Amino acid sequence: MRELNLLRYVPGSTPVHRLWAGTKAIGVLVVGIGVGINPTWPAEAVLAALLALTLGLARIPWGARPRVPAWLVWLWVGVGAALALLAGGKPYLHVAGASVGLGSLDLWARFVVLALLVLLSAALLAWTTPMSELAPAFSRLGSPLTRGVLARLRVPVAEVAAILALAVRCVTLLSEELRLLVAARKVRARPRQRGWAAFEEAVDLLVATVVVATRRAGEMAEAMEARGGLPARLSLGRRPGWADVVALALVAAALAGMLVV
Amino acid sequence: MHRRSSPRPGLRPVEVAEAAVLADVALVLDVAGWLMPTLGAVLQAVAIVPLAALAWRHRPKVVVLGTLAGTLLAFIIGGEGLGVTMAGSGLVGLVIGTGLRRRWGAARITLVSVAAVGLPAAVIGVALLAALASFRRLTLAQLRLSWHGVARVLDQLGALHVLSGWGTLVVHWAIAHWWVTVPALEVVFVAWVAVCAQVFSEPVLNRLAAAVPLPPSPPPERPPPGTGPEPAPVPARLEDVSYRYPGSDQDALAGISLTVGEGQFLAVVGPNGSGKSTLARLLAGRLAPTSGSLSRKGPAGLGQPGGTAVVAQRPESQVIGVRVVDDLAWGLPPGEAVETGSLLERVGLDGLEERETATLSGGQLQRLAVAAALVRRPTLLVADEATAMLDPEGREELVSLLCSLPREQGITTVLVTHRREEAARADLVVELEGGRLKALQPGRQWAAGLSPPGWQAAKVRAAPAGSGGNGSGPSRPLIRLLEVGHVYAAGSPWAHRALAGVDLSVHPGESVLVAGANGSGKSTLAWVLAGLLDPSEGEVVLDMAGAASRPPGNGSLPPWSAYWQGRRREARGARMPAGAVGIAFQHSRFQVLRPTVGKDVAWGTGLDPEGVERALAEVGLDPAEMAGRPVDSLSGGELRRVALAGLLARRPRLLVLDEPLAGLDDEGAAALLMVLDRLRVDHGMATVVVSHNLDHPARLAGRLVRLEGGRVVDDRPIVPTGVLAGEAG
Repeated sequence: MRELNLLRYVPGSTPVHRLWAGTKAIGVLVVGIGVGINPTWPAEAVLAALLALTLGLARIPWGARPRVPAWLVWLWVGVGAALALLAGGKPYLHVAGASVGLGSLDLWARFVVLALLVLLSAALLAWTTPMSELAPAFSRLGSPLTRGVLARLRVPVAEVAAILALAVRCVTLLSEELRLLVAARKVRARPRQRGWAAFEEAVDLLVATVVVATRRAGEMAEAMEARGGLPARLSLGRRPGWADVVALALVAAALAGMLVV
Repeated sequence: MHRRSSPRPGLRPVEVAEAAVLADVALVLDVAGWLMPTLGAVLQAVAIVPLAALAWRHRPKVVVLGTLAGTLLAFIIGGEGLGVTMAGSGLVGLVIGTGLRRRWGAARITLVSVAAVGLPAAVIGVALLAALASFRRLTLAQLRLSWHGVARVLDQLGALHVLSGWGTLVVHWAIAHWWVTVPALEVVFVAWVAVCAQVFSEPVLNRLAAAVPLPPSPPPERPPPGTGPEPAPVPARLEDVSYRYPGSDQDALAGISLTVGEGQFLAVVGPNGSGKSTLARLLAGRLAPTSGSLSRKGPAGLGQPGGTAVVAQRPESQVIGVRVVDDLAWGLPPGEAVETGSLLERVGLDGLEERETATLSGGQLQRLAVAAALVRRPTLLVADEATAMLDPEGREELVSLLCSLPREQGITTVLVTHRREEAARADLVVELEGGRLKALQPGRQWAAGLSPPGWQAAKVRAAPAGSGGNGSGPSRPLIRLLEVGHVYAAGSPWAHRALAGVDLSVHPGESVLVAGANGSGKSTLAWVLAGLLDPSEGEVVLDMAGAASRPPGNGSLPPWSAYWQGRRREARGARMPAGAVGIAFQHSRFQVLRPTVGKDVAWGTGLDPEGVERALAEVGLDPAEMAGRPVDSLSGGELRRVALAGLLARRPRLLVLDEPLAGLDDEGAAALLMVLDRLRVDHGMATVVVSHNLDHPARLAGRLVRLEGGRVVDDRPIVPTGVLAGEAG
């Protein structure tokens, strides 16, 4: 069983790590929208430059890349590229008497790069942000909604923050349990099921997962009750600082760049 | 019934917990769908099931807020795409769960899904594409050109020329009228997902309803902090108290009379099912007696300052904060400061404030739970089986800590345990049996009257000489590890070495105890032995000559580079006979998957009903009573034995057991050990027990292998000592 190294935090104390989680989340959201509005090579170059800068500052090593099966990526890129080459389009390249249209290939490449850049920006957030900062950052972002006139909207910020914090607490626990479930199934090594039997087996696996998860939730609820119920106040975590202002200015500049070029 | 409630009551803890956990399950399934494109479409539908379960169990508000939190988490770990998927799953799950609960038909559920999710998604999709003009052009041009590529291939194939012509027409029309095609496709997609998810949800929800009943609603009335009378849980006087769970025809607890005094250290002991936990719940104020009287000075004040605190069995479920400091501050009223440092020092966790709780060991988690309880300066602390899942060190530390609370802080402490040695330190021991009081004595006096239970004096029998047995028998080893090492996530920042240079052979009929602390690599070793993990270094050699009870190559089997029947197999895909090696996990629910016990044991073993009965009897369960039981009605110990029956029915040559005795009482442990012993001696099955339990090694195995930091530091036969040696001689 190989580790996928998906979405794990790379410990560090670089300027990127020290940024407030909210800043980084906003950044990812904004640049994703920006490059979506104007998916051209220059805009992609601006985003790539911003991400390269961040990657360098955060000192993310090459080894941190997710280990998704390589054939999967190449299959996707390759099939698309082959189709694009067959479709042709300007400009044409003349090689040994045959002419190949590169126009579609350019489109396909732009498309692939766009997808990879968006994924990379999300990965940067996961690599540099400790999970424990997520719920407090959300609470701080949402806290204006709990004050003054906006409080009349009764947006349940505290409740969503409580669910988010607990979801963060449990997500590793649950993925471990799912790994165990897959292993347990392998040990009993049944012949591969088909049709109805396969469906029944899938239902059995799902029932086990949902039952175990729900029971764990029940135990956690009792633990919460034993501590007097849900927190009455938002835990806001740390405040954004000057570095965050600079970072957001950078993101804004990049956004402007992406839209203008 | 008339009930007064505020118009929009806030969430209850159980709603928050289920929303968080089920949203997590959906998220994990969605990520899996990303990675397995072949299964992606199915997994996307399957990921809806946990959220449908949430909607089936709770009001819509819970699902909406849970989906919102799940979407945020999905966005953080996987970007916009994963976030959108999660949001869609949540809304479709809401419709399906609500619909199934209200007994809507499939057509109605699908229609409502389309109306409530598909149409808005279509509108948003069109609006986004209209706004993002150049993104739209890029995507559509991309589609058109891809089709041209396909069309050229079709043209080359001659006969398919017509197809390419028609296709071009259709694709061009679809692209030109994207504002029709895109929403149409979204609606069709949502309808399709809703249908698939329903097919999976219905059987799952029906079984879930029977397995995990909804917590009682409304919750017990509790005055807001600071308004009611001051909590005063002790002294508590129980007079002839009985308790019967709703729907049961038998008292869980009957005729209990005792007094819990202030500042007392009380131990409640008894085997599984003796009513200990029921008594703990009564004392904590979670239950009220069905007959008799329980009188205290004031209200129990569960979770309130100066009231009652509880630490329960499973360490991972006690701790609810992401970091240690978050956990300590959980649920405190606004403005209350926590003296984190001194509290953590008190429980021996000083300096760990910022640690993420997911990285703590079981013992550390339980001590953190005690610290979190101390934050509210409780008068009464109930530790309900809090030591059951810990290693001896963690247990000792926790018991010492609990023991010191009455003396040093005047906190009345109730320790519920099935371990007699822990009870001996108490001021007062309450021994229960079958829901009734068996003994009520001061700890020391009670301990003096104890005789060691039979199984502690027992030791494993040696297997007959022919099958190899312990030590250097003439037989060839079943499995040999040569210089095996393993590094998790090699080459990444998270690389972590779990095993190094392990040489280990296991012979037929041998019993080996692999012991080590947390992080010593013993679980990794268990996975390697069971063939679930291909080690990154070294070689695993299997010699299963004659082990093939069935033809090889049957089914999906563990990957191994193996010797098989004496021949060397270089290929990674080399197979060994199905069921020749088994592994029993500590958490058995994942190994017992079919709806009923009988079906589970029969599944994949091909046993007829008689065979199932024999298999159940073999592990000490009553076949007549057990075969029809739904698996989710079983206790932890029963579940473990059922899992074992399923494994043993395959007649494994080697059985690996991970912490087989954790959470079992004396009787359960003795029964299990007897089964293993018999199979070893009678069938030559080898057992490898992986455990941190070094209390009585001679009853677990004939050979001890100690691991430290991934290396074997000790490998020797276990020599029975003292009385045992005399008996053995």
